[in-house]
Amino acid sequence: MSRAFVAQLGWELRKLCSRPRTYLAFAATFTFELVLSLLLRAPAVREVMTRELWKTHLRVDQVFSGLTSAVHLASESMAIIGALFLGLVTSDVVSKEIEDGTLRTLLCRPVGRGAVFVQKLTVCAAYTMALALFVGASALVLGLAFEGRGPLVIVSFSESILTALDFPHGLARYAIAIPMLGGSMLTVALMGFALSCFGLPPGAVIVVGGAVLIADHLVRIQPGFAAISPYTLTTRLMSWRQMFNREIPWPRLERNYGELLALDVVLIVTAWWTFRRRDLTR
Amino acid sequence: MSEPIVVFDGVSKRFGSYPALDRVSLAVRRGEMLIVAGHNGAGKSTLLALAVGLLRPSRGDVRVRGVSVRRHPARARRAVGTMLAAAFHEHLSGRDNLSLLASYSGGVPGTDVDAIVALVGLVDRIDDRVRTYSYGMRARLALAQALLPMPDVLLLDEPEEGLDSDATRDLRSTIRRINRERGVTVVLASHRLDGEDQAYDRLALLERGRLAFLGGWDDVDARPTIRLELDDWEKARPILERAGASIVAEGVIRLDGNDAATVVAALVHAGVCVHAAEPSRRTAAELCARARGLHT
Repeated sequence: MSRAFVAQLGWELRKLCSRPRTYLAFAATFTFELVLSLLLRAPAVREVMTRELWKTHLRVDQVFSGLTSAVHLASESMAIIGALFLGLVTSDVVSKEIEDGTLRTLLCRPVGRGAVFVQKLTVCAAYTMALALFVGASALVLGLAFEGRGPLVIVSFSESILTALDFPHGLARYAIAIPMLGGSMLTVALMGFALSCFGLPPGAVIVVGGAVLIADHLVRIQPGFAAISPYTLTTRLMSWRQMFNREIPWPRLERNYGELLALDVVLIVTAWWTFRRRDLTR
Repeated sequence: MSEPIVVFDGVSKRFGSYPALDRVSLAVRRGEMLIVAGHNGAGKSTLLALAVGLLRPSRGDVRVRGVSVRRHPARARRAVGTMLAAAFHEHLSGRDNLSLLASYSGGVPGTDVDAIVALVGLVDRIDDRVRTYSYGMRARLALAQALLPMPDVLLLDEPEEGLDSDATRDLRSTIRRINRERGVTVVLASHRLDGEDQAYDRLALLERGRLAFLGGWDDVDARPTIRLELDDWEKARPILERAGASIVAEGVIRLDGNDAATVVAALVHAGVCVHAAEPSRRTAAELCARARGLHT
């Protein structure tokens, strides 16, 4: 990696860090997790979760724990708030700069579009991983603060997950699962990035990206579409949760992440193809 | 003046079906100051954007120091500083913006940044956030980034846009100084021309995407034009032709032989009411009209 690349990347990261909405994602996900933590303590919610557990053969001393809560918090927070802000921030990286004219100014410098594209891509990937790690860490902190230590208990019939792991094992699985969550969310970030390279303004990127994910999610959860549910994008995006299965389904994880990687490559190639040929008018 | 440093070789640019530029060929000589004039939409900004690869030509190519912009845009841009509607990160300081852009030019020593900041007169405010800058300060910052590192060619697109007359004068004086003292070739696109523009060595006029004229100021002034206010242009037309003048634009005539007094006298004698007659001011429109006349 050349010194110039490192210097440019440093500036790109500094640019990202100087935008208020970059931090908004962290604040919003934390607030959402906090509210969800409180909701998880509501008796009605606990009753439903306990009933779900009783439908299975699992028998545990402690149904609610910090780890269990953290998995729920991280899943919901990243799927709803995290995805929204990822789209917002990653679309900013290109389309907002085009809109403001700063990308035009930058591309007047003696630098190839390829180098600028790689910088932007790296910034998006770094931001995605940072947000995923933050969401995972804050979910764990909030979970432990509200529920304390205890076994990891996950019951999800739709994902075929039925698990009760003791705290050390549960924590280890959680520590591996969160970076995998970041890997999954990279696809969402790349969708925002690619759409912004196609020339969509930041707002439109959120609408289009959000519409795709919601439509895909609806297809996944509708009983009528059960046959195609395993092939949906959101099924693959949720694959990281398979790390909480009692027996980790490695072949399935490899296949799902392989497919996400393939989609990532398609998104990067099409984004690059558009970016390199794009006219930057005033 | 020496060899060409920027060569536009039959460049055309279409936006959909709209031809923004049509087979423009133009060589900018090293060290010269060239002004590119024309109406809004004449293709001035497009021409400059093609020179740095912000736009891809539909046809033709631009070469900077012999390097094809189409094939090697980054290499071609090494010699070029631009002020093409420069925009900055508002939440960063002026210095940070300069350092950021300099990092994409292979890095520029801090002393060079300070020297350029002093040259454009922005020393006092360079560490403030850009969002607090006035139009004038933004223009100076835009010029500073164009000079980092010192280029061989400076491309400026309407650099005075939004500036008051004092700031415009300052900016132009700085640009002239850079050309004179550092030998930087300057190409400035503008739709407003005034007496100051005579400091430029040559004038290129674009009209509807075509190069209507390219030459020195003397070439333009060789046949003067007069702005007339008449009550009846239809009646005046044959009289003007007989008096050795031709209509080159609405309200503007070109004197091809006789002087202005003779032409006005002929009109009055024929019963045409002449409300006003004055030497044509150098607006882009009129210069285009003159240039068109020179080509016919």
